[in-house]
Amino acid sequence: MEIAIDSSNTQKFTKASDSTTADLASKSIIDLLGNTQIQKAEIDGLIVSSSTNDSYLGNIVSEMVGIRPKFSTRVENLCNSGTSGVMLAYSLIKSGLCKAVLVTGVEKQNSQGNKLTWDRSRGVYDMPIHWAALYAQNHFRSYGTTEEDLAIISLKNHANANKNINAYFYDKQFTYSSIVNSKMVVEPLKKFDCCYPCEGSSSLLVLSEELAKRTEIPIWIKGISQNNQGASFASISKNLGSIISTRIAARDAFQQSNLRPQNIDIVEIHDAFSILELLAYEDIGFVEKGQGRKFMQESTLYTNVRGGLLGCGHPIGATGIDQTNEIVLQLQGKGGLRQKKGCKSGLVHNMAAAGTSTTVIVLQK
Amino acid sequence: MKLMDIIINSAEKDNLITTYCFSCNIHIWPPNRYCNSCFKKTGFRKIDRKGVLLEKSFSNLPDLIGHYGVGDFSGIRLIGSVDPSILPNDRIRISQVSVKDNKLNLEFSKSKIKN
Repeated sequence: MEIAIDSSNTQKFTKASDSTTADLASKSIIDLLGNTQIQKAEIDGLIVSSSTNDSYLGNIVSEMVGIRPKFSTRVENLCNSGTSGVMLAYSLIKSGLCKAVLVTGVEKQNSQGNKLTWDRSRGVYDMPIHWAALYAQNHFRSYGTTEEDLAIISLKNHANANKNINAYFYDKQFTYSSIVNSKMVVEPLKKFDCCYPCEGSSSLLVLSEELAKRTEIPIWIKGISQNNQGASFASISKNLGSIISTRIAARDAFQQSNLRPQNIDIVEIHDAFSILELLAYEDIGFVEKGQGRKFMQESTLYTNVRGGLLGCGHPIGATGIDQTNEIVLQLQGKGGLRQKKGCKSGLVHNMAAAGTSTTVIVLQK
Repeated sequence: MKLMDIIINSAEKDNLITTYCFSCNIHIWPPNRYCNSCFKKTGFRKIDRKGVLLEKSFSNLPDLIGHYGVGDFSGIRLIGSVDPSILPNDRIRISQVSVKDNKLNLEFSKSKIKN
């Protein structure tokens, strides 16, 4: 049985508002339900992906939107929460337990998910930028990558966000100069090499083949895989040249899909820091290790068209859902101002906590 | 008492320890009550202060301004401030152990032992 994604919705990413986590999730679901051929009564699964500590959130949101599903829960996997929810929905449908599962990703700006407090092994250097900068230094030293290369990635993603009304930086114009000359935070990463933690919600509907055939343009999940290497930076820092979880998740997702990196037309990459986009080019397999900067300059692959985490902001649980929605919209031809022509296959890359965990989803029209 | 609290209390006395599997003969970091390989109960053991710097950078964050890096010590990775002259792959030693805001605060210096 094939599994598809049909409808999607994303609310504008913002600074902290008065809305509760449940309010944000409900608004996104209500807007999605207004734009799908699937009836509310047919939805038999509801998953809320979030790093909030709000108890019983799946059932609270179910009640707020008037759905009485067979299965409801909250999924927490830090920055990888969103696509972890998609993977659970896929599994529920594949097993035959459910036929239509709503997945909503949501986060408040002050989420506890912005920092992994469990990992006290990092000592006083416990801010995420400290591990990201070590990955960057390693790439610079090994392959000659430069601050200017990272600024080009940041500029591309911020410019893409100017075409995405839901992006946090939708109406802020960046120049190469404003990015490359921004304040150095931890060498070589500057202010605009780093994503902005914000608030937001995003939803999608995962369907069985039978229900998907009733929809206008179903987008099929051809491959979905996750790999987890632990939780601490200490558990993975022996090899700073590569994100191992990404390599394994991508390999397995491609194997399941019978597709290869060269078959992918458009990709959403988890660019929480600009260096992570460069590493992902290599670890997903679009290019050989060390060739990321060359790939960035020469490739025709569409990358982070919605604006990435750098341009959209990063509402932890909502990010993976919005990344998936972007690929769905692009493959459906509903990308609006940022629609890219001729996209048939797309890929989502969503990860967490220094790259200890990655999910990769391969989607096809 | 939480394992990390025991380690922090010990570090306040300049004694750097972590959990150790006496069956597999490996240090375990972050600390764990059980070895995740053989599942036997762990004990505590001093961390070897001699290691190798894997990578380094410079932080401009308030209270942390300066060079820092990640080093490998007896198979476990620790993060600490580093002397600016130290380069990746250099032999290092943990020259100072302290606690700041209930967090481990380590300093790495160049080891006098040659490669």
